[in-house]
Amino acid sequence: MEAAIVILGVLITVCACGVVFSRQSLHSALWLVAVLFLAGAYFAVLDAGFLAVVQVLIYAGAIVILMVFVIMLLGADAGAVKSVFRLPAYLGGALGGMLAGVLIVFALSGAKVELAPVKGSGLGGGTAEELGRELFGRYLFAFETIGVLLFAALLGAVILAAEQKRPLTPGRGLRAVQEVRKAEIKENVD
Amino acid sequence: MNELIGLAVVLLKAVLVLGAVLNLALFVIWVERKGSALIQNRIGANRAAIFGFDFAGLLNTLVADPVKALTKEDFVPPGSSRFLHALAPFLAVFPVIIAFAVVPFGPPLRVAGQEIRLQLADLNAGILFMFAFLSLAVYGTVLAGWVSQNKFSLLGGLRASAQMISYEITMGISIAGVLAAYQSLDLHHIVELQSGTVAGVLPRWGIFYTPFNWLAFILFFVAVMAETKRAPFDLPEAESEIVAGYFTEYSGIKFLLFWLGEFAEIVVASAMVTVLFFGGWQVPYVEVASSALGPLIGALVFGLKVAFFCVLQVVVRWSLPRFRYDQLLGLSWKLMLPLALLNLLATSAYIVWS
Repeated sequence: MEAAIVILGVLITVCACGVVFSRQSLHSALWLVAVLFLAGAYFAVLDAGFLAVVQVLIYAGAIVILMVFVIMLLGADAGAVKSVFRLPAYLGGALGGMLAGVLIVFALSGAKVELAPVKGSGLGGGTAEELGRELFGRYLFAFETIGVLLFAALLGAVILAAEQKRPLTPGRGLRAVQEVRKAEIKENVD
Repeated sequence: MNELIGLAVVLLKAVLVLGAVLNLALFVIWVERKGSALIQNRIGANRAAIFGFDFAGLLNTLVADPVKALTKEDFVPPGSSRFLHALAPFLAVFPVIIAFAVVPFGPPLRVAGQEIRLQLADLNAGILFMFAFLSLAVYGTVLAGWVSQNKFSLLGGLRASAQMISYEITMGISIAGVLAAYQSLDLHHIVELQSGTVAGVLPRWGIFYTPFNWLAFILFFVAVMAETKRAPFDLPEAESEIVAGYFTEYSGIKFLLFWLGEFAEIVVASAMVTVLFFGGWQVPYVEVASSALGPLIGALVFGLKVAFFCVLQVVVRWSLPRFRYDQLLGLSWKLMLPLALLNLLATSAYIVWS
């Protein structure tokens, strides 16, 4: 199991680098699919089968497809990034470097982390039933709170999208154009 | 020694499942060629013949088409990535065939006191595994549309991504109530639950399992047909609007792979419908699992049911005209999704009160 985790870790890191360093947004999205798929495999190795499948289904199958949809809608060329070295990139790099440093120090300190399968760890197990019991039992409040939060975000998105669909103001809108045309037709008939 | 036998059994099952899916896909291709000819009142697929015998079109679909595709020039549009151009058809076929790994195709086989399940991978969340891999297949379409450097292909890919997401949501919610009634995600267990009869008359198949499951079946079947991107849902490739959509720039074996992926998707969709709503390998009024020849009969019955739904999909494809795009999305979001939610509510109420 440990060997599988190490191999998956290396692969995930390589793909994550692909996400950051790709010049085109669509390539980044494809690398992201690989990262999320491998993260699903990681869950499967840890005996959390349900979580593994849901990870692939929701993230790789649905969320990234929405991103790809937006990238393609905005135009394939508009997604090309000229240079990755900008201020946010430097800041992100510094943060990532710090995190990597902490992890390396932790690994060198000789502290032992038990890598145990989810089953029998007291955190519920890998099946849908056990996960459901945990979510709707011990973590019910957190679960419902996240639900309300997501619902609020959804409503916000709907309101933002609906805002732009208000009828065009008279004078420069479609209705004004139609009125002018009607008047023209009337003049011609008269 | 036991481990070796176990490994051999798994390998044998893998070969069997792969062979079954590919052969069924070829069967559907043949049904499509001959069936479309029958429906349109013409003689189809009769060009390839040996001394005048065309073997009912089998020679055309099994020999002539693949040979033609293999010997054609493999054209890659200039300016696009060779690697991604080759990856797209692969992504359209591979996840679909993987999805078949969790389908139980017969009752357990008992050999020398050991029980062998006729299912390649016995996963606890089997049905979700199928959903996950079917949802990955859309990347093949979208990537093909993008990598072809062509406005028509891009439009096809764009249409595919929006269509897939819309119908995937309906598909998932439509069977949520069914799964709640089974109280299981394990496909093997789901099929075992469908033995016996309801009130002594109807077989206890998924479609009769609760009073509302027939609605779930209709919604699921329509949604899964939209997932296969065929008429009346074939907007990603709509020939009369955007040339051939996402595979306009594909030729030869890569084009054939897209084709194979489409037909493998039909087979997997039929298998899903059979397992969830039509009793999988169960034979009505007869307990197959207990008899000695059970596994063989069960597997045959399962194959027949899958073949029936494959043919049904071909008939639908050649009978209905294409939707307009707003109608397509409207059908999913304004009609099928509310109906699926309503069905979930009604089924939940039925489960709680009965």
